[in-house]
Amino acid sequence: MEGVAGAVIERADLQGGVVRAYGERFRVARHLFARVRDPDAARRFLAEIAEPVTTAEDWEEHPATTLNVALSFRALRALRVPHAILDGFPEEVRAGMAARADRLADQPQTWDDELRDLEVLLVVHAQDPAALAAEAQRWEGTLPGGGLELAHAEDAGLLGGAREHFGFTDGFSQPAIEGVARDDVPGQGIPYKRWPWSPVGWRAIRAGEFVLGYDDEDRGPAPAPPPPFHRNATFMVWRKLHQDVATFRAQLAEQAARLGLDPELVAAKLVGRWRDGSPLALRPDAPDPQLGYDKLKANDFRYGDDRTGLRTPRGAHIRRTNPRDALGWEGRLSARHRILRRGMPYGPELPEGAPDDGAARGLLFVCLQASIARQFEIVQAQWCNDGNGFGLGAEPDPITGPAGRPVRHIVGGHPPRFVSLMRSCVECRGGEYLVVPSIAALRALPAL
Amino acid sequence: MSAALIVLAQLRGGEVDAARAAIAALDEPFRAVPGTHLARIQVLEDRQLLLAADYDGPLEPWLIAAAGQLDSVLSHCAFWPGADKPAEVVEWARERSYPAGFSVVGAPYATVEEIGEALKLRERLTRFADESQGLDDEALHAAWKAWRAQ
Amino acid sequence: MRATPLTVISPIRWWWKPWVRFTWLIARRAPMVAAPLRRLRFIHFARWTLLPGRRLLFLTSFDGSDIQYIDAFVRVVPGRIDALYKGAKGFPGARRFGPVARYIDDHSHRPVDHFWMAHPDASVRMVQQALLLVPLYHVFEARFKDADAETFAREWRRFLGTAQRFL
Repeated sequence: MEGVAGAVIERADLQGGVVRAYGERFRVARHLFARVRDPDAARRFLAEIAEPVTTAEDWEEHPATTLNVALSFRALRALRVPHAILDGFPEEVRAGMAARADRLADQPQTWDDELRDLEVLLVVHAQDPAALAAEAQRWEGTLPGGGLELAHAEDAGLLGGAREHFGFTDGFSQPAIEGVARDDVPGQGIPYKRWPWSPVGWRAIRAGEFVLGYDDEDRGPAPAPPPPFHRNATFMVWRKLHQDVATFRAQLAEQAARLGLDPELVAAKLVGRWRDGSPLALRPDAPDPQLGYDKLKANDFRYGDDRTGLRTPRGAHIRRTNPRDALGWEGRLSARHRILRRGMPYGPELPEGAPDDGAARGLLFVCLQASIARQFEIVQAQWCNDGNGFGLGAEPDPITGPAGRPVRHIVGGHPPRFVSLMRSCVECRGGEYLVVPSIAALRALPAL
Repeated sequence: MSAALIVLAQLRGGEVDAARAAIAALDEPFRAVPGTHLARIQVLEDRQLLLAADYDGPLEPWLIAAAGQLDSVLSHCAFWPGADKPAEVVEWARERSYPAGFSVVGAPYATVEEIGEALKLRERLTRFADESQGLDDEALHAAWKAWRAQ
Repeated sequence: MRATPLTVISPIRWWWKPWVRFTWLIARRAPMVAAPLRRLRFIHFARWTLLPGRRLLFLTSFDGSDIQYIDAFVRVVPGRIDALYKGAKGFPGARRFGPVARYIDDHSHRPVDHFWMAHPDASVRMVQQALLLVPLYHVFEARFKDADAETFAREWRRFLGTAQRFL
């Protein structure tokens, strides 16, 4: 592993949960959406919230709860942020996520009403539901005095074993950020060769790919809005993704029977990992629980020696969303499209074998990056909604492709097999693009 | 091997807007020009019209067919002889065309028709491979024969 | 339609004209110059020509987003891009995405008033895969169309195994 001089991130000015997730301990969260009713009062409220908002500083001991705040462009306008500053925001953030529907293959006309036109987001994480309820209610109570009106609340909570609702362990493969990644970073960074004759290793990704105000992989400061939003900030994509678990399981069983394969293998071939997290790239024939959750080992693989997708199918979910070196040139074409995922499941688990109970369940998908257009949007539009980047024509990601779109997923082999007659079981019910401001930016709001 | 045509022609004074309107009114003219892989028409500043295409040669038949379809637009160009004068059309285009100095082409050796046939076969074959999974040998053979006959 | 057209006109310095003509002369004889650009597999057509008034015209159509297109040039073939554009006025060098994206934005001519493709839903990659699949399939068909069922099935599966990257 190569030690590259890392940017020193100003931890006290960056909100917490960005470069490092809060971790499994904080297993419940509430996302509070509020509308700006009194701009002056709201500005003061947000400036005051800068004090209790959790920062990226190291903790001596874990707090009981954490607090974060994010603002959509709509919120910035409602707060009467001056035009000179607003004009400097990236086009996709100004437009808002609903306006990007074509690109994302979303159907905003079907979104939940309460998830439209989102403005101010407060997120409370807690270690248990009682602490969450108390803290969230406390904040809800302060909103009216702060010129804000509570519009909607979403509760989320980790499922057992760090799984998501389709049963896959999730969230442990994250980009390694320079200056932050504490451990050796095999598999989480970018493939890297020190000299042309060196073997390929890994290096951490420059901080500017995720945090504004630092150098990015283009060897310069990441393009950013004007002050005070130019530094120690990031952009958030927030999407409520409904998961139709019953249909997913039924389809999986049908396809397994049709292909004469074990359903667990079919599931793994769709995702690229077995349910326990062990990757097909390292364990093509059977899962390995010991490997599955070992963060350092479970991500240390590439696809260069599996171009045909015999181990990890070319269109498998994790290969599409993080291609590593699958696009050739040692990963150079993937390096600038990484995202930090910070979401959490919502809704009760559906027990295995139980019929559909109609309950709302899925993933509150949250990802962070310096450029939504270059990072999230390309992953979703070019790699999930389409297959051409992987030589798969128009075939979508079998898990996160456009809702309801038919899937024909090729499973490499001799002979190859096809998982088809399936439809994607994930549907976006609403969301928004937001900025996660620095502490200084929050404090500066009243004076703007 | 597919060839490039790059024509830059002067529009008559005062006819820029008319040319733009004529372009907007076009209804897939290149569908009627066989051998056209790709074509673009653009009005550039200082009253220039750019017509560029990648086509299966030879040039003259393609050009004459294209002229027929684009007469409404090209008639706004200075010295346009009219689509009904093929020899003059070819001369007019030659005088205004620029050779591609360097090219990168995705599939340089296939004609438009060959590409179309290949794409169709790929789609049909993949669908058949999917649908025929799990058939026993006899059934597979029979299914393939039926598929082939379509 | 999958592909996006782009028209870029670059004013160039007087001494760049003969140099560019010379490099094109070499490039036309040396396929390895264009090879990595072709290996990127998202360029339907890219053509460069010199116009009067010392202008370099670039016409292209490509699959995917323009961000990926520029990023690929900068990260994979910056040397070749510099070889084309070093002498273009205001060209910032091909090593960084931001300045190149701004340069292209400043020198792009939009809109492309009329753009047409024979196969609008086909990407370059799909076309290339299809063209590789056809002869493979025809060889299989010619050899085994009259085989018995068992032989046919075995050879069909072998054909699929060989051809899977083109499906």
